[in-house]
Amino acid sequence: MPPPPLKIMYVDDEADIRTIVQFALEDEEDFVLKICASGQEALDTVADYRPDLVLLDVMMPGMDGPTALQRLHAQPGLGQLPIAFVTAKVQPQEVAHLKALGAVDVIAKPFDPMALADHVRSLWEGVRHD
Amino acid sequence: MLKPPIPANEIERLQALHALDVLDTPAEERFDRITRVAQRYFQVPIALVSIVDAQRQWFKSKRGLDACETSRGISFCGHAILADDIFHIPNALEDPRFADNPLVTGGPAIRFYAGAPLHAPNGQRIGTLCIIDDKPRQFTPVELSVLRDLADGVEAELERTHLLAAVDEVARLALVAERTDNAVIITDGEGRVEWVNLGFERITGYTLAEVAGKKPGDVLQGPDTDPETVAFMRSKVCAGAAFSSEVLNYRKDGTPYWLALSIQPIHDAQGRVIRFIAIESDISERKRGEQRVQEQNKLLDAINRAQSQFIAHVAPTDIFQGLLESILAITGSEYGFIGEVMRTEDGRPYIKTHGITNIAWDETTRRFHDENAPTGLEFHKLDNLFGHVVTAGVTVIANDPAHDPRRGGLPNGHPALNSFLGIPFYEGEQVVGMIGVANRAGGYDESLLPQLEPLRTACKNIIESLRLEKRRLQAEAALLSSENRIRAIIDTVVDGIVTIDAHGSVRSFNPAAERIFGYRAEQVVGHNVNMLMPEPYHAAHDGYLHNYLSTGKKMVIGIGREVIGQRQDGSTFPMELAVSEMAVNGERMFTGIVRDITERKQMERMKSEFVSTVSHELRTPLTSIRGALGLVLGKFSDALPDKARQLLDTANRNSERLTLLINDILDLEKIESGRLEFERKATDLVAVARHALVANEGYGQQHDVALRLVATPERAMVQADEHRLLQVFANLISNAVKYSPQGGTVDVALGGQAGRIRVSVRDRGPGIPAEFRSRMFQRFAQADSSDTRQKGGTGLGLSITKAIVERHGGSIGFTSEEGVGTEFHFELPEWREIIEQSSGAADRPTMLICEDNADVAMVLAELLEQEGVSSDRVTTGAAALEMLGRKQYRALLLDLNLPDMDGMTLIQHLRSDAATRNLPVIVVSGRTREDTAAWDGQALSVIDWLQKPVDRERLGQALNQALQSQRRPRILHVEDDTDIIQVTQALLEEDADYTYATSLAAARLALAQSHCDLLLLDLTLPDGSGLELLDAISPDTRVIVFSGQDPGAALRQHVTAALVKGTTSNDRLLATIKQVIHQERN
Repeated sequence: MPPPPLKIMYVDDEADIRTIVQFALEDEEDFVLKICASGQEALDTVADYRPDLVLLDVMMPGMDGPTALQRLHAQPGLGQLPIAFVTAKVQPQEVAHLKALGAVDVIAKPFDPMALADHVRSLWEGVRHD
Repeated sequence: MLKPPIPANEIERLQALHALDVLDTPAEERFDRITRVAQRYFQVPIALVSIVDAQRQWFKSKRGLDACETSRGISFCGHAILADDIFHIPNALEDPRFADNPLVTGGPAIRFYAGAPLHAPNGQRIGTLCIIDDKPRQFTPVELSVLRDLADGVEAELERTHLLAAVDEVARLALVAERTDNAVIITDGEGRVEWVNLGFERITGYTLAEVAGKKPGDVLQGPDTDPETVAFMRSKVCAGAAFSSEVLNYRKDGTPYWLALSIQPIHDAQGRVIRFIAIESDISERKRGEQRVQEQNKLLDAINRAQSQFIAHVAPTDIFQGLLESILAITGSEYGFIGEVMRTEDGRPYIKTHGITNIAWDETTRRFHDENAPTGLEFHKLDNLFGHVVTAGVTVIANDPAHDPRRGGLPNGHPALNSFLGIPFYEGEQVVGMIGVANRAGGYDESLLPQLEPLRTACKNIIESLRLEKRRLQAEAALLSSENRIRAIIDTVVDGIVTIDAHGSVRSFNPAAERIFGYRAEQVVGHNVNMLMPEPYHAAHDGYLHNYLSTGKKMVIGIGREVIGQRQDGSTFPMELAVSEMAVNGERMFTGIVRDITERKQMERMKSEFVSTVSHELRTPLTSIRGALGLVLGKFSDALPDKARQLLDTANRNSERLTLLINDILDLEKIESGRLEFERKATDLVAVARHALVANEGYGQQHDVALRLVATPERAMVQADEHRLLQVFANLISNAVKYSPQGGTVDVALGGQAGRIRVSVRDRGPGIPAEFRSRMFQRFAQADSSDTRQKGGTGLGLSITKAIVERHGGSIGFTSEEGVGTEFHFELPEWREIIEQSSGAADRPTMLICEDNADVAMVLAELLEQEGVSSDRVTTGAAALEMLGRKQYRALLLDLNLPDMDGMTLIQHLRSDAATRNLPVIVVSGRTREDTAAWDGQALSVIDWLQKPVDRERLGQALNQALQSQRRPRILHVEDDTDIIQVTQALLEEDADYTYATSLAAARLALAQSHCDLLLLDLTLPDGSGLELLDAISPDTRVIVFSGQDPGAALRQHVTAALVKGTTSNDRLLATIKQVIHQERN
């Protein structure tokens, strides 16, 4: 009996990148994917969707990634929800800053879409074992 | 034998004998002549002139006898002098007085003797003329009278001896009197001349005949003879007294001369003056010399006056006027001038007078003189006598000016010119001035010149000095105008210019600096320049300056760098500071040029923000492009026609390149702006290399190139940012892979020596073309522009790599051989746990610095160095413990954040070990003391807790305290019981300098000689109560009473502790003492 699929939520305001991520991950049988176009949408759906892992863009209009992370973690029962940022802000101190906010990982944009699924899997392995 | 008796008048006889001065004198022909006659006349072998003195008879003349004297006791003559008659012995053998006389029985075997006594002029018989024969003989009356006659002759000669001597003396004196250069005059008692010598005639010109019978004064004295001297001499002569004097006399030809005379009266037996002898010497020469000296003195006075006037800035005209008057006086001239040679604009010489005699002869010339003399008259016409001095540069003497070919004619009314002397003076070859004087009585001659030489030199020196002065003033004026120019530049320049002296005190502050800092110059000048800096520069500046002055180590000077300035309102701003050193009048000064770079910084920030934003903004679309391409190629590759797939491959590859390029541009921008932050930590380079090999293995496989780690040490510690080092490795390895042939190998090797670690990355590629090697580390430099496309890469990798390595204090380079391969290598300083100061520490206190950040440790070491303290540095707690076990340190400077243990743990560890229990510790930490308040109560004995960045002054105080506390406490024990002293000494010796005194007096002496930290006091002492000492101790000396009795509550207030003997254990005593000393320290 295969393990239940990994529920992933991807949040990005860029439609093109949402498409890329969807294409990159949708065919993976061990993933279930929910794509949101804003932090607010993520907040609105997270309680229903109950993701195992959230991938969060940083620079978003309205509510940026760090704010979204805080608010997600502030939701009842989601304090330990694993959230990774996917961002173009990849300078070392930016990465350090993002991790300090409580992110489990920082995935640099641009990324290799064909390697994304594996990256997410290994990230999940890491999170699960902690 | 009968010894000759001594006559009754022997004393008088001997006196008369000695008065003759004949004894022991050489033989003389006048006596030998007589003995020779006697010998021949009487046909005897021996004839003698025998002088009988007290002990012997001595022969003034002897014929036929070798001996020159015989004893008076055996002499025949001793008998002969007893009577006036001739004493004669016909046959000594038959005479009982002489028969056994040795002179008879032995040599010369006297048989016959006849001696005629010789009389001194006063009648005393002093010897004989005697004849001796070795055969008996009778003496006839005729023979007796001949012998007497001959003896009379001898007597006459004896008498003449004195006369001869006297005559000799007189002759000598007469010769002296006659020949002496001095004049000798002999007058009678009235003073009339009796005799004069040749000297007199030579000096005065008068002969003896001309002055005989006259009084010398009447003849010799003249109009200028000093009447007082004459009166003095007369009075002396009248009194018949001897005297000496100097007087001016006149020769026969009327010329005066000075003489020194000394007059001696001659008295007769009754004491009346019968003669005077005057000896006179001509002292004209000496008098002239004295006069010359006086003149020279006047001359020197004139010169000195001129020189001091010159120094006192008296107007040159007045100086030269004074000199001119001296010259006129010395030469006896009527008028003259001193002038300087000047040049007209077209170079023609003329004379400008500095001093001139007013010879104005009418109203016009008088006015002309008055108007022009103060500034100097100018003589442009030089075809005349004085002009010749200048034009020919020679001395001109003209004693007949009217007919002199060099004359130029005089203006009408000009005083007559009878004689002229013109003397030039030179500066080098050039005539710079002249003296002209006129109308000396009798004219001028060259003999005057030497006398005037000093004046001429003085004139020349003063003119030279005036010229120098003038040039100096001109130069000053020029300087002033150039100074004004520079001042104007400094005042208007946009950069702030601040000068400081070696003490850091501001000396000048230009308007731009006022604008930049918001202070007015007068608020800053004289104050320490650190008022223009915020902390930590403010506190550190004196240290920098001091450090530079003492070690020459430059922080800013000659380098220029960006620092932070502080305005008067306290706001800070970035500024660029360039400091240069200069020496002004031997004083070291520093000039700081300050430029407010707030705007530039803003621009830089904007630029870097722009780059950062742009790169981020580029990434977002790139993410879509790359994602789309990646997905198409990854998922639908099979469905694509070949050509479409090739084109999409190209697009995908280039989107990857674009990503790298953006990363590199961002990195490079940050490195250049200095904002690339490094998190340097102790890092094992071997581990980093392994990590890098793994990370780049995939890239190698893509190119079919194997990566190998060869020749590595076990560990190679450096202080580095691991992430950045990985970037360096990645860069070098990917380069090597790119240029390696398929199936090739890239070797990475680590090694090291002399404190540096070397990493090399070697490929076996084509090598770098020689012409390209110099551009290797330039941006976008690739050997072949087609390389970029063929090999990929951004062209920025090596620039970034180089920048990263250099920021780590390392260096990078390469070697390459075409067709063989290329090796890139970089070196980083080895990070060591322990850095021991190697030298110069022997006589200085050494401290240990435990700090894992090498840069901070280095700064601390430098600060210690400035305080005269050597230091060893360690980076881990373990290393600190190791070093503390190995060496003695005066203190430990400790960072709390250590890689291997917490600093507080280390302190606790130290405090629990007897060897380090008392080691002074100074904490240097980013953590505040409050952060670790929990530890405070635990008596860690930390001297001070310094926040980073370290305040230099506070560090200095802490160091001093540390050095102080390291001192062993001095304890003076005042106690008369030696058993107790022994016990206490044994107890305390290990921890303190222990001395004792057994009486009050000894204690007072000890206290006066050296300070003591603790006084251990017995109250009952042989010479009084120990309490009396309480007045003699300094306030910081602690007192413990250790006595047989309790001092009582009242006294307890005045001492630190009181212990009672017998009831106090050794442990308690020791504990109390330690506690008291410990209190003192804290």
